[in-house]
Amino acid sequence: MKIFYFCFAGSHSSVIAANIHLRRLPEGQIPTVAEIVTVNEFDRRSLKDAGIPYFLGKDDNGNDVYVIGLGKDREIGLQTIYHLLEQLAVPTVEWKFFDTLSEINWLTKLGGFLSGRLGLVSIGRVLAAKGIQGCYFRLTDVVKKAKEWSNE
Amino acid sequence: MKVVYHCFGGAHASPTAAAIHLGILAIDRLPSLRDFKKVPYFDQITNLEHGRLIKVGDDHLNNEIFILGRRNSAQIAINIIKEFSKINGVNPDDYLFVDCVQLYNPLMITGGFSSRAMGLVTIGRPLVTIGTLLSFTSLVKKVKKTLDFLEKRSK
Repeated sequence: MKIFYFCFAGSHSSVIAANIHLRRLPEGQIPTVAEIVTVNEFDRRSLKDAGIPYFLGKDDNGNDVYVIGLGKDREIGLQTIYHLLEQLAVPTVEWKFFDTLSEINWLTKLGGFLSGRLGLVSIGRVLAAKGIQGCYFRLTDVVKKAKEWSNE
Repeated sequence: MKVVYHCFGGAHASPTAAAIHLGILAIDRLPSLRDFKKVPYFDQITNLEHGRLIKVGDDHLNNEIFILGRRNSAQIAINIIKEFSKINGVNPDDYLFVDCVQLYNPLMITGGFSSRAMGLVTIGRPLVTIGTLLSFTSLVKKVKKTLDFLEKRSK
């Protein structure tokens, strides 16, 4: 099975969720800002990379875990993906997309904007990480749902 | 090759470009308003079909000609189509995307919106057809450029 976590640019909340899923970040406690900013893929991509899926690894059950950015209009992104998979005759029951963007707070959005759009990486990255701390358990809930789905 | 003419809704500019490419509309003269009735999918695409590659036909060089509605997410839709094709073993370089959006044509925008988004076909369709006619020369230029590229590539 293939599990995709998606957010705006595939750079913040989806990356954190995927890392929780892959046990590279803890599920039961909030990591420090230093731990979050040192996640390899955190705050590394911008909107121009949206639509490009990134493979982060295989989970304990052998599922492929990806992150992807779908920009502002996630509906058109998801429609494009599902239409294409259907046209390529790929069994879509094995592909599932989990929204992490709707779980984040304004601080993560502000940090992402400062870093990704304005190039103020040093301050933007830290603010985004602080924002992630505030919504961390909402992201772990998304991961739990993804794991429940993959175990069904 | 898979040639994808794309625009906001995939309902007007891109079907017209695909029809020019396939010779359904003449490339060397302006069509009449009635000629647009021959254009496959003209003013037919709905929101649910956005993001779907719709095949219109094959050209004389055996390229497959598609249309695509991708709203304001052109680059994201292109990235998705290329990357998810790659994951599934399809060569992403097989696609050629041609942007057909006509930004400075208010008749196409208001007519298209009235017909497709609001369902006011009786008012919207004539407006958008006149708008497409006004953009016809610009669409011909895009198609000629595409055909030149494909001709050179096939030699």
